[in-house]
Amino acid sequence: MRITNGSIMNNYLYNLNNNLENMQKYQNQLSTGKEISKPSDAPFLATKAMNLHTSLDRNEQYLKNIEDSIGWTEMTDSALGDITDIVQRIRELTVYGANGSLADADMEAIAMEVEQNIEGLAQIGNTNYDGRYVLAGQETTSPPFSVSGNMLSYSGDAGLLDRELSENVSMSVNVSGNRIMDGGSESLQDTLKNIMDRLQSGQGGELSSDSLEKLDEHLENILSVRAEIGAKCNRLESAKSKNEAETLNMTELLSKTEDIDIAEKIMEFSMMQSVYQSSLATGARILQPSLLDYL
Amino acid sequence: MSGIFQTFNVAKLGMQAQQNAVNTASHNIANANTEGFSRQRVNLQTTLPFTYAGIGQFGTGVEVGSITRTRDEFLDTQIRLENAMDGRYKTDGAALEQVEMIFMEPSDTGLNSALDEFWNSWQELSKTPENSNAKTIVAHSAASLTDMANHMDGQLDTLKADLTTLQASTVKDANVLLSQINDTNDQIYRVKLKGLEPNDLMDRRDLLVDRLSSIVDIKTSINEYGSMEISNRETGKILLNANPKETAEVEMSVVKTAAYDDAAGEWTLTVFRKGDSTEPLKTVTLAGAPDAFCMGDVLLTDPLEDWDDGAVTLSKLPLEEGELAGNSLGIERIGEYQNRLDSLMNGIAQGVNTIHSETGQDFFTISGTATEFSAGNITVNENIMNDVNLVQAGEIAGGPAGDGSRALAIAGLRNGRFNVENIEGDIAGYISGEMTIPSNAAGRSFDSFYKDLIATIGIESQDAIRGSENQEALLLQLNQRKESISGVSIDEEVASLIQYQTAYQANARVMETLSLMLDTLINGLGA
Repeated sequence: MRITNGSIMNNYLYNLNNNLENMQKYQNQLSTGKEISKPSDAPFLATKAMNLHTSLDRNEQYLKNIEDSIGWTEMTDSALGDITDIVQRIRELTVYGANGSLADADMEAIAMEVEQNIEGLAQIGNTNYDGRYVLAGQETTSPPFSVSGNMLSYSGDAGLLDRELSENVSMSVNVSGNRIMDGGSESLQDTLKNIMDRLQSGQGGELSSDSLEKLDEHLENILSVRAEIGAKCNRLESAKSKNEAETLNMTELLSKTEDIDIAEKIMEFSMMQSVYQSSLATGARILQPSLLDYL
Repeated sequence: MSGIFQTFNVAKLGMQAQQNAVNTASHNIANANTEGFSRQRVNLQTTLPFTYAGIGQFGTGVEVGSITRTRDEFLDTQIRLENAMDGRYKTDGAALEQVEMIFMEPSDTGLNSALDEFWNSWQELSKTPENSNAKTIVAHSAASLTDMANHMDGQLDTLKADLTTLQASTVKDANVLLSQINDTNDQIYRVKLKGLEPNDLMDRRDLLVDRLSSIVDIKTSINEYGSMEISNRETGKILLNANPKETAEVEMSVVKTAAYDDAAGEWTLTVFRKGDSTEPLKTVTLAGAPDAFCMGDVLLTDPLEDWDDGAVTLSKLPLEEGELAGNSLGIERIGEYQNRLDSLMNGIAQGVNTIHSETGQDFFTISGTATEFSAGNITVNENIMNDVNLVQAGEIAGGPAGDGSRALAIAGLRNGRFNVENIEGDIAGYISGEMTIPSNAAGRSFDSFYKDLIATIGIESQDAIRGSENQEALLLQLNQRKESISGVSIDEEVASLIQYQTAYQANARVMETLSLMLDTLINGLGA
């Protein structure tokens, strides 16, 4: 093949340009730390990276949901714990009051303490989490429990609060106050009202025969509701660790998908650099001389 | 018997011929870097010999028989064919590169992240529906999603318009090249008539044709007078008549806008005649034309066509290869991407509206008069932007403040699979009691619909880049071969310069010898 000065020049420029393009590619990858900067670099990798980004983002949202729900259930759990303690105390007082040998003044004192405890129940029942009443069903903006004339009443609803914990998995995080109010064969409102009435009218016999039994039913109910919340709490904790494990896996996968291996890239880059330098060096030698230099 | 003066003449012819050869060598060296130049060769031949009866023939010297250029015409044809493919890949790739810049994926600022944020905001609202902050965030993340879609759609529209203008100026370039080739044809014809080889003119014409070949797919043929005829490869329509005095069979123009009126069954086109965007636009109405037209299409018409009388006979240039095809392909692809973006935004809008409007107003509204949502017209209902409390989070209007189930149902749309391309009006099958739209197992989620679009853009762009790289390598090979045949080698020319110089000196020496002989004859004899 006949080689002319023009063909050497064209070939040289083409190859030099290719080398420069490769250098730029490696430089870009090294400076962004990413294997790809636009979809055409590697369409499959690009969409895979986008998918992982979306999944990670979604998981992050689910984690927020789970953590919120854990806060909510823990708050509910502690409220239910307090409620159990108060009902327990009312039971102790009822047992005390059922003892027929008390003076009227003592009965009065017991009645006053029970009344205080009923107020306490309403107060605990109105526990809020982040400004929202946890035992109010869906009526989270108004305090669900109130007391008037020894009557503990519930004004919330039975609505459930659903939270999405992962794709297509949701769970209701709340127990509404009516689960506590309507737990026994007689409502808590009536049981407490009766206890007050009986204490005030000195009907110790009825306290022991009826009220204690009803109160026990309620205690049992509250414990079972609390156990349910405990179970929810456990389920949330396991959802959280699953979520975190997934995030960890996906982060690793994303890193493998879109991050460069710096050591490898630097090696490739310096190889490219020496190719570029040697092409410049040969260019300097090949392009200059012609027959004229030797005549 | 040859006389001394006769030999003087031989030496003179020898010096003249060598001088001509030196001239050609210097012409070659001077044009070593001229684009499109083919090296020239002086073909020397002996002059007619002189017959002397009884002795034989005496040589009478040398003359320049012809000066020819070294060129492989078959290679030219091949290069032009590959030029056309290269032109298509390059322009298509350039358009797609801009599309990729508009979509800006993968990144933290593209539509993908805006979608993520939009769905997450509904999740947050489902947890805190009593909180108007969460509703504000829903409204604003939706507004940033619609703003982004509107903006992208606008950018894609601008890109299409830019490509159409580029198409027009490319056609104008082609027309200028054709008229330059026509002029060169005329000059070549005049030289050829005298029986000479117009080497430099032919080089110039070949260079013009090379340029034209990357714009449009052409076929050339040369007639007996050295005039070139150029036709379009696909249609065979003649773009340049071999006779410089005659007009071509067709001229090229570019469609600026194309609109189809369904009721009247007519196309209305506005056209840059001959791609000239400085001239007033021509408007053409075509009744029941079988072709579909699109902005950027290249039209073929009779050059004598009267554009103003309303009846224009035209056909579409089928675009297979060349820059014109690349531009057209780019415009077509962008239109396709826009359709898919429209489907996506329409699907999201219809899905959200179906669930949201059951207890309240539509969440998304259409700006303008269109009946279907598109990336360009989707907006968040203005009433909602003004009063975020119109965002429906609960199952029933005015229901419990803590009920976020409707917001959760809307957030759940993200996981559903729908036949996104074909959603018209409300998504079918909405179950109002459960606030759910049944998933279609054969469909795609909105997220993956968008990712498929990005994958399509990536693959098409990658194809164009690879194609263009391949063409570049192929063209380099072909051009190297051409250079090897037609290129000027300085070493070679310097060598022949020395060769001719030596011959020139030798001829001069012959003359000196003859002069000495005459000296002997004139001065040495008589005294």
